[in-house]
Amino acid sequence: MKWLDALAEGSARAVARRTSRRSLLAGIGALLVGVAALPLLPVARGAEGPAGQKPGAPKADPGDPSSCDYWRHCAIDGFLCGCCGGSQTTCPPGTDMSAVTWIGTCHNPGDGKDYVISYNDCCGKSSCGRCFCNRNERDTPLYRSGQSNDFNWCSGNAAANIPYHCSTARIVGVAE
Amino acid sequence: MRQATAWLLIAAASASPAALAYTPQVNFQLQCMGCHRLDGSGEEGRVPSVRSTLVPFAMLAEGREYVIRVPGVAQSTLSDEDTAALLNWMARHLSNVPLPAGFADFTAAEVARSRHQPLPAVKEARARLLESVAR
Repeated sequence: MKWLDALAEGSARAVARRTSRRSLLAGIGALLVGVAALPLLPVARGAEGPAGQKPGAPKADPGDPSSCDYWRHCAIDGFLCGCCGGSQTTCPPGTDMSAVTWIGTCHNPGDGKDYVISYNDCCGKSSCGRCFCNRNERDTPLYRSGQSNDFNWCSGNAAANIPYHCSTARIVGVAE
Repeated sequence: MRQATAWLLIAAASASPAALAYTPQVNFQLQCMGCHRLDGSGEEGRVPSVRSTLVPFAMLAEGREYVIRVPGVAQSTLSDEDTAALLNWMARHLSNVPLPAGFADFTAAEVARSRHQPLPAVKEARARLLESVAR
């Protein structure tokens, strides 16, 4: 068995000669950061799939959520949070979701049903400026504020996070 | 011109309630939830909760008038029938106060009677009702 000890010792010494302790620490550090960042990548969000969705979410969800033409965006007026570091249901880091919001209905071409969509704004940072969409199906004038998408819904936030950043498009349920 | 046509179309659509007949739950989502939130709890200091007040208010004559006359209810695009059904659904599904034995459902006629009387001082009216309920 001596030859095995010699082999192990030899290879360990060879590694020690070639590498520094600092490089080992750097490697471990990179691994930790990489693991932490993995859920932020689009591939991880795509992997959430139907299991991660709320009940009432459609099985058929055609189209590109980063496009204004995507069916859930039929009544959106603002920047898509998916282009701003968040997603169509979550706010980007550093912003809070407005508690009050404007609600509309959109037709899902995938299953032919109408869905109630809640366009919660994300608030607390200046306008995102990317992926601006303005589609106004069933939008009402400001004097009917409850169904108007021109209103800054961030002004209803308890935290007074008034600056508007971007908009989400969350499914509430089937409109029936 | 195109805008005028669009308005006419919208007017035509809203004149036919059958085309937009939703369940009371969906009407709540479309007409109320934006501010009162999915469970009716509202936003502290900004949007009143309906959870502990709707049913006690509905047990008082002036309370029933109040919930029909608040701007969001009185000015909604819902018919009197749909509004009554919505209030009755809310009393059964969003209230954290169980329905008392004497609870009477809201009716379309009741909604029609009160919704056209503006309620200028909503906060004050609510405060008075809360006192009446507490007594």
